[in-house]
Amino acid sequence: MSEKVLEVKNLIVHYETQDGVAEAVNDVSFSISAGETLGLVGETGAGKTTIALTIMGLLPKPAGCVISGEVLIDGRNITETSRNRAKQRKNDRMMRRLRGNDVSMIFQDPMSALNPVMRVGDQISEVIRLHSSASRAVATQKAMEMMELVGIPGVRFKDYPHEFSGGMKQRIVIAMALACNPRVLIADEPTTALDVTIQAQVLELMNDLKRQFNTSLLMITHDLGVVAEMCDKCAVIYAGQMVEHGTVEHIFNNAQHPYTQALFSALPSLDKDVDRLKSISGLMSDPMDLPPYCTFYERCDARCHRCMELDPPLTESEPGHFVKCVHFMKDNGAPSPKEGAAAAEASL
Amino acid sequence: MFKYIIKRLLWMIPVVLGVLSIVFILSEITSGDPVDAIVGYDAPIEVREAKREELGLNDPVAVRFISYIVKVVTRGDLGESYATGRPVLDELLARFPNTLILTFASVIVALIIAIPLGLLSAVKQYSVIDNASMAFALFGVSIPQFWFALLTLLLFSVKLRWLPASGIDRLAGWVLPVAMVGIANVGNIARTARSSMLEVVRQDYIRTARAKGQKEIIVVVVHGLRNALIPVIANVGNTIGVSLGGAIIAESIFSISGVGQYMLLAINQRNWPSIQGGIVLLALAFSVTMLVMDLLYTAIDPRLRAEFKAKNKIRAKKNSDGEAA
Repeated sequence: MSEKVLEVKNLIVHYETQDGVAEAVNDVSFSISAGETLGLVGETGAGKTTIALTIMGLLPKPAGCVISGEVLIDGRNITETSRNRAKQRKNDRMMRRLRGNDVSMIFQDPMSALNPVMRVGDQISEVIRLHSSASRAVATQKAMEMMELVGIPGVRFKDYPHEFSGGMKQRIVIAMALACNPRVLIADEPTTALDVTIQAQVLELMNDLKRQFNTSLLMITHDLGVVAEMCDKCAVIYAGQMVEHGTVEHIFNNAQHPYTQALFSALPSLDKDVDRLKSISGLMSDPMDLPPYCTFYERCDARCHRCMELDPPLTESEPGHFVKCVHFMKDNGAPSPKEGAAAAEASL
Repeated sequence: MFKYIIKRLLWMIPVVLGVLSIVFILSEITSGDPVDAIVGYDAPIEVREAKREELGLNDPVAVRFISYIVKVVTRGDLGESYATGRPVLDELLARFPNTLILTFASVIVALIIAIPLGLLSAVKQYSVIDNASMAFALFGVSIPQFWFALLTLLLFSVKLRWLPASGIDRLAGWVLPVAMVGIANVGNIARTARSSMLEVVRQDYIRTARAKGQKEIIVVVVHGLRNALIPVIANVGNTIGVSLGGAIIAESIFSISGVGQYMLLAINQRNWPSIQGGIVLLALAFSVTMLVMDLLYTAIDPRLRAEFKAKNKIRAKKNSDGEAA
């Protein structure tokens, strides 16, 4: 596709707390082209939101630190920090100009994402006035247009957040995020807090708007259905690492990493009548104490002796499809995951 | 809204009656005889008795209570001071403005210092600024007012001769008492502002405001402060209420003729009409302050306003249903 709007290169983010260092994001790289949608999938605590906040430059201070790696928005690196105060202030200023204008974010919980004591219209026009020289009247007009665009009557401009339902609040958050036609939109579980009927509406709305403005979308979710609906590419995140990365077809038709396979087998199926859904036993590794070998080892059905010997690199198993698993390393001498599973079962 | 205000004003009647009945009961059980102050300890017993009879002190407490209420309601008469013989109402009204000025000036001073202090410490939690301002706040709360007042007097009036030691005939005379009461209030308000702001800056909508690319100072002041104000207002309301009746120390030390000083003197002399009059005034002032604070809440938080409207609507509906039935 066309040029890359957002690039994340070898990003490592740690939370430095009093209890120790949590390795939230470990060497994650991906890129999104204009108009493309990438889905970030993973369970709670896998580091998805941390990636999003890093891109926004909104990591909680002072705990969150970018240890290494780069985040490029339109080729500009936003993770640069400087000890020089004047320089850092310049960096901050640049970041403020990008935020809301070039890259904006839809937050997880619409109930708390809006300021309860400010009229919603003012909250939308605030971002417009910040990034353009529009007068108050023009910004108000634009904000009303944005509200109409997401399906809320413009006359409700003067209402407060508590006067809207959850779905409508989420629409307002979306209107706010799209008000300046950002190049990149990050949606952090935009539908998790909504009920199913509204979910479909909101997703459809986001798809329409994305097409209309040719926005690149980073969709963070733990709902594989949302990924299938919305995304072009998909990355599976586990314990802060990307374990599988490819097109949606790659992931859905040919899931290769044992974790991705386990995720799919945990989905309820219409045609198979089962009493209990499959679950992945155990818990995700503690980000404060990650093992030096494969982080999924403890919970993996296909583990073998090789898995404990090294931390496998992300390997291209077929063109455009990357897997971080010992079994897919070239010439590693390890059995394929299926054989591995059979071997593991046999050994039990 | 108008109806609500009227209702709240009417509620002040039972409040004042309640407070007055406590004062009358206390007057019955406290030792000390007002006649001592009026005619002197060594006056002959007949003179004392005559005075008692004249003041109606020999009547049972219930009778005195009711006749007092009747007088207040029918004639707006709070009685005459035992000490001066002048109407209590006039004496109080002459002093109340001074108390009002002292209270509001000191609260404004306290707010001007405390809110930025609280905000700064919340935004820069555990920084040097935070520790310093919280230490200052603790200092303000815990230092004895009379001692602090004497020290400031010593420095600014005696040593430096910048400010008058007493009297409020010049504007400069207000500086020390206002500063003293103000600083004593800074601690409380700053700590409330800090803790409330600490909660607010962790909220999602603050992150949303940052995500818009808004400047940090506007994020904190515009998006944060208004949300953090409710507990602060509650605190300020209490402070005003207490100051209205209780700036006694400042009023005594700086010889400001205010309600606090008047009441203190009246208590010492067992000057019951003055005490009762003062109590009525303070109860009313306190109730009005609380009403204003409640109205301020609804001005600040649209959710409270909505709740208020919804309640009225439900009540109106109930009423109309009742009539229909």
